[in-house]
Amino acid sequence: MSSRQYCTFLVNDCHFAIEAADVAEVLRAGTLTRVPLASHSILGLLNLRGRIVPVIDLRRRFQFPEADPNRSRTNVVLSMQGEWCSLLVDELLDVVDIDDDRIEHPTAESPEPHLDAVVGIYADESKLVHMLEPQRILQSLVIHRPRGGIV
Amino acid sequence: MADTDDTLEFVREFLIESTENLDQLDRDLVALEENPADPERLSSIFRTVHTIKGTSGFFGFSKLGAITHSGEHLLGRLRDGKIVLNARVASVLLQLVDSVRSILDTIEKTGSEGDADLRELSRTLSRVADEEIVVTRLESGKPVSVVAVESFTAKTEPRSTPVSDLSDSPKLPAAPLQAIEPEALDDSNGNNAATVSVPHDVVLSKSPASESQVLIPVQTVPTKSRKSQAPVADASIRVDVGLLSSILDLVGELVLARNQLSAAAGSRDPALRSVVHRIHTVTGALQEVAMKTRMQPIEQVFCKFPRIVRDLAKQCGKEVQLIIDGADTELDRSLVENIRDPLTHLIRNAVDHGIEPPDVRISRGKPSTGRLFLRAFHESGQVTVEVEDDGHGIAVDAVRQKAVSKGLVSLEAVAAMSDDRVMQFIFEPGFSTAAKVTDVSGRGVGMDVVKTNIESIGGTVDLVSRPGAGTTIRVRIPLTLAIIPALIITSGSERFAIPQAYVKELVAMRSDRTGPSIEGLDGAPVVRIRDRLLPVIFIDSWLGLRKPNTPRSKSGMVVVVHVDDYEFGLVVDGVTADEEHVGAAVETASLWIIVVKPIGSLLAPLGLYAGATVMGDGGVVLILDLRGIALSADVPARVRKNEDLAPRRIEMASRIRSQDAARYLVCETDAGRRVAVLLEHVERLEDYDSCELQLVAGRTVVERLGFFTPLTDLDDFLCGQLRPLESSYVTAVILSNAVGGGGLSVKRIIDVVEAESLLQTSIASPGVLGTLSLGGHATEVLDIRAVSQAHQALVNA
Repeated sequence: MSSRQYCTFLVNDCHFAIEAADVAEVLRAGTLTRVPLASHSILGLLNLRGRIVPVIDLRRRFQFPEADPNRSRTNVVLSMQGEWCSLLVDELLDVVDIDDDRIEHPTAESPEPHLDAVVGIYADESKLVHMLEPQRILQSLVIHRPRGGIV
Repeated sequence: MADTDDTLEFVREFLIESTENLDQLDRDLVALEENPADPERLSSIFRTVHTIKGTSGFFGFSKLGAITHSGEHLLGRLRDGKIVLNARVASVLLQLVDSVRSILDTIEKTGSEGDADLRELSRTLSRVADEEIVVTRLESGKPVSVVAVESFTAKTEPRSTPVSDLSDSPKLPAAPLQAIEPEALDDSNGNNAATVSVPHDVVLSKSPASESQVLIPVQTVPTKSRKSQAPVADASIRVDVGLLSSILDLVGELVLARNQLSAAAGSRDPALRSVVHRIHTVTGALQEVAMKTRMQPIEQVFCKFPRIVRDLAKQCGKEVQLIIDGADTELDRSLVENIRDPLTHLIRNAVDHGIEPPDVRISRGKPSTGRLFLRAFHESGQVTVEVEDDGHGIAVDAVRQKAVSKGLVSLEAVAAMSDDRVMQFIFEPGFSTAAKVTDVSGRGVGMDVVKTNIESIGGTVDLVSRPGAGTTIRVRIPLTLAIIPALIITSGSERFAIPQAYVKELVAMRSDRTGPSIEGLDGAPVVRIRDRLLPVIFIDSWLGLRKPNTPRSKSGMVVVVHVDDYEFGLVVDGVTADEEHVGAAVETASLWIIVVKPIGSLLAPLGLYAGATVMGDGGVVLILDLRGIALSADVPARVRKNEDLAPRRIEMASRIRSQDAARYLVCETDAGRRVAVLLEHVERLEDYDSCELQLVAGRTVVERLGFFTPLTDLDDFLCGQLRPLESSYVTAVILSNAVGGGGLSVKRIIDVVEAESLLQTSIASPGVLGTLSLGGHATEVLDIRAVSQAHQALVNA
């Protein structure tokens, strides 16, 4: 029985998990620079000790209601093969061990395209934890050569 | 007061120079250890210490003076060959260097030498210097130094090497001598005699119980010295960093001015065009060279390592040879400091953990001295630094096990991972066995910190290991950490950067519409700048920074940019001035030097941003990809469209011009007449001081190329008078030889203009052919034949 470590967090009161091996660090939400014409889910760029990291608002990505501006959020910074990005979540929860065989994989394609990043569900006591695949979160955010606004 | 200031200045210089000298001393001593008989290095070391001694006397630093005096004495004995440099001598000299450094540090901080008690060091220096050491030779000719110890016992069978006769030394016994390796000895206390109490080349026993034996280390002493390399310092000079920054700023301003000059010069005068082209080329080259001053050789970082390796190896009881390659590889100033700490940790790691102790190495069939390679080179747009050791390497399975035991991963998970992925665990924060190690300055180190530091400057770290054979760690820093000059523009409430290389000029649009206007041409906005129509993009609309249909302020700026083959304008709110340029003109104040950082694969496909940079206030600013923006706004198509329109305009204009659009040089005479001379008749324009003018036969002449050229005032000529010039300063139009080669003195040159109308010959007067409309003015055209004839008459007279 193999288990892996996962970082868990809350977005819109839903539980999500992401492999801890991919998480580089966690920090409070900071000042962002907007990236015009990028996907609406990309909130902006963060300066992480000189490294420029795009920040993805998971509420927007999963089409949840907009965040409460008075509540502070948390950046979960991911580093995958040299590419960095950050997921903005409502609240960081614990790092837990989850057995691979306790994760249920959806049999059919999710009907909602924005939930394509959820690759499994883990039922834990009272709650459902949605397992996320980072690459899938990012894939749909890539836009090629948009036409700009009015000339 | 002035005295104190001067003294402080001198002391400061003394401190700076001495620090550099001490660094050099470190390197020299470590190098000398490997080649003890290098006389030039010895002399250099002696001179350095001597200089510090002398200068410290001048300032009254008595402690410094005393300790360097002792050092000088020891060095003198070395230089004279009375003693040979070995590990013990080198150690004590390096101790001297450290003490001097520490005193200098105290002086810098407190102004006085401090309380350090250096008597012990002083005594050691003297003792080492004065030890009665006999230098003799083996029969093979190798010089060795001999000293006596009380007694020893041999651990292993001694090798025997014949030694020449030492009998004439009063301290040595007359018995036959043999050589024993120092490592094979223990002194009577059970300590290894060679390393503990007998750090000399040769040991002689006084014990009556054993036969006298002579020990010789397994070490070669070269019989001739290496040709010493010219120190790097001779090829460079010390320059204040602020000065270099000023140069870079000025070059930036020059580039902008050049861009404007190119735009303003237009295509009229070939002579002017070629000068402008030359300025263009030279300025471009100047900028490249100026940017290079930011490049530093990695030698700055590497130079400390020989000493560090030497000290650490001794501490760990290992033998390590450091081989440096590519110290002249250059990288940007801002990167040099960033890799110093990571590299230091990697080097220390290799010595401490990588390379095995000598006995272990020998038992594995390796040479007792481990080799540590430090290489730097440029490779496909990157700087690569390799730290390679021939130590015991790292086994993948060992990493697997350790990762599991450290709780970083489960056993099953790690079993499924590839070897490469497993090795990455070395860089995990929890991986290192030791409690968080701190370096001298108290900063935490560890492989994870190394990785973070390298990655924060955009680099990568890789590790390759061959169990039993060694480990190579490769650090790559992308050179596309480019540094470029850029404009920072504001649009909406956002800032963006535009690389200066594309910027041709900045044109202000004024709210009162006195500046160039933006017109719609078949729906797409264009701006007219000096008779050219350029398509423009409103950045704020294009990037969606403002709500459509909200009124836009009338003031702003057009940044005219040149991309590939086309030009267009970007309409922005304004440009941000670099505060350092307070007081300068807007255009020149707007140049920033920025570091380009990649925006990553998530945003790159947008094709709108070429990267991003971090400003001094920590804010991130996107760098616009002008090509991408132009393509997305269909600019190339619009440019082509404008070009299609252009012929129509020229066609219209040509109808009001004469068939042969001749070009004229228009001047103003002292009396205020506008006179034009056909350009083809003009050889050059010259200015003369009265001292260059001579009076010959009642005429003013100037000597040019061996010939006398008569000069006539144009007013005078037109009035039919030919008399000497009166003014002390003359602006002259020198005519070509084809028309007599004389010179006409005018008040000023106005312009070179193309004729806009047909020559009207009805209004003529002596010397005037007719009238033309030039530059919107009615201008008299000079009758060049008349001029020519007049000059001819002069010559003949």
